[in-house]
Amino acid sequence: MTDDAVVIRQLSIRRDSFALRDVDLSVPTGYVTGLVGPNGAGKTTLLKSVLGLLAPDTGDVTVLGDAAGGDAVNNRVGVVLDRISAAPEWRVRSVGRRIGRLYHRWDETFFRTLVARFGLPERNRVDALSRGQTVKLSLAMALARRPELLVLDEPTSGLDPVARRELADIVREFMLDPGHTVLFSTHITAELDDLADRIIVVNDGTVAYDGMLHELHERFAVARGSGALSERARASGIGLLSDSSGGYEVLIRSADTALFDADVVIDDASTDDVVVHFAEQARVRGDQRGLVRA
Amino acid sequence: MSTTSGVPLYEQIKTQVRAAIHGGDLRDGALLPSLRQLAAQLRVSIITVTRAYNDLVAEGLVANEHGRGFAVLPVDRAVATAALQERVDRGIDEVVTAARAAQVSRDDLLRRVERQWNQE
Repeated sequence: MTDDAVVIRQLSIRRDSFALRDVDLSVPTGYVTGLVGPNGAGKTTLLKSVLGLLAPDTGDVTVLGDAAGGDAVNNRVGVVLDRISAAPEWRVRSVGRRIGRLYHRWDETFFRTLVARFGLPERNRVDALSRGQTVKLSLAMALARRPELLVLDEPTSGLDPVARRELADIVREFMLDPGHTVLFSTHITAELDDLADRIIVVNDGTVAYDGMLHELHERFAVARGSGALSERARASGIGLLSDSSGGYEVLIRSADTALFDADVVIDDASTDDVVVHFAEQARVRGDQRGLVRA
Repeated sequence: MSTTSGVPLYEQIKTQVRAAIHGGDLRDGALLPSLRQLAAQLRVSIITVTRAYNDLVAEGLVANEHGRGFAVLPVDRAVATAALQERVDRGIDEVVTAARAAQVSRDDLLRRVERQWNQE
């Protein structure tokens, strides 16, 4: 038994429309890890490689101690992707009967309990469900597999605040078992603060930041000012953003606050600040790589 | 628990557990709620509760008994009393500051305290 539910080493995947470059990361068992980054950053590609739906060009992906994608592993992983894996014409109540036999650990009683608890209309066709109901059905299908690892791709997109909160509650309930792990992607940073224990910021196919969420608030601050930045301050800053009126905002390490003049405002970094500035840093580096290639 | 008070959530958890221990609500040997139960109940991340509990371990108030959970340690009565007294002083400090800001007179303030005391 390892302490990491997912270990990715030197993963590179290149396809026409997307790429991951030299990704190294781990997802600790017993915690909720949030994968965050702008649309198109590589979040879904990463999740699909964890699920074994995309084969790496180089590197390897280990899930629950085995190579990703094998049947034995897939039986221990529950998945919610953007498209539900139930046919549109199926009735909600028949879903378990139809797909349950595909999974060794399918728990039909639990599935029915969840369907009732989520208030899903049992007689409705799958394609007649609202977005929120579809996510809940997907989640019921994922949880009924009695997984150890739950992988959720943008589960809250299109959900109203009430449904988002219900989803977070379900995730926390799943996490009551210390052997359980959740990996979910989102582009809404605010969702991370009260749910995620660890965050991984992805941008332009690379991991821009990876760490426990509380450490991030201790480690970083935001400096805002206007005019010229000293060379040292510029070099120590992460993801410098300028606005049209000559003002700038940059993420700095808490230890570097002394590098800035007194007229610079230094504030606590929010999760949002860290995501934005690390994404900017990754974007600039990506551009530089692009220039070198050209 | 409040997410808008400006006090970090893990500090609020610490303060509440500390007060419960010093006040005698949580006695020697009592188990704290499990990390995961408390996280789910308070709708916070697991790491938030973990930090609070680890800090309480460092303060010598609870011990992590592996397999059993976090258990309350015997309290030094003198320390507990001092902590409770300090809480009273902090509260009074706040009340006096608020009263002065609102221009509540000394007599009026004492009357209000008296009334509150009698209500309990």
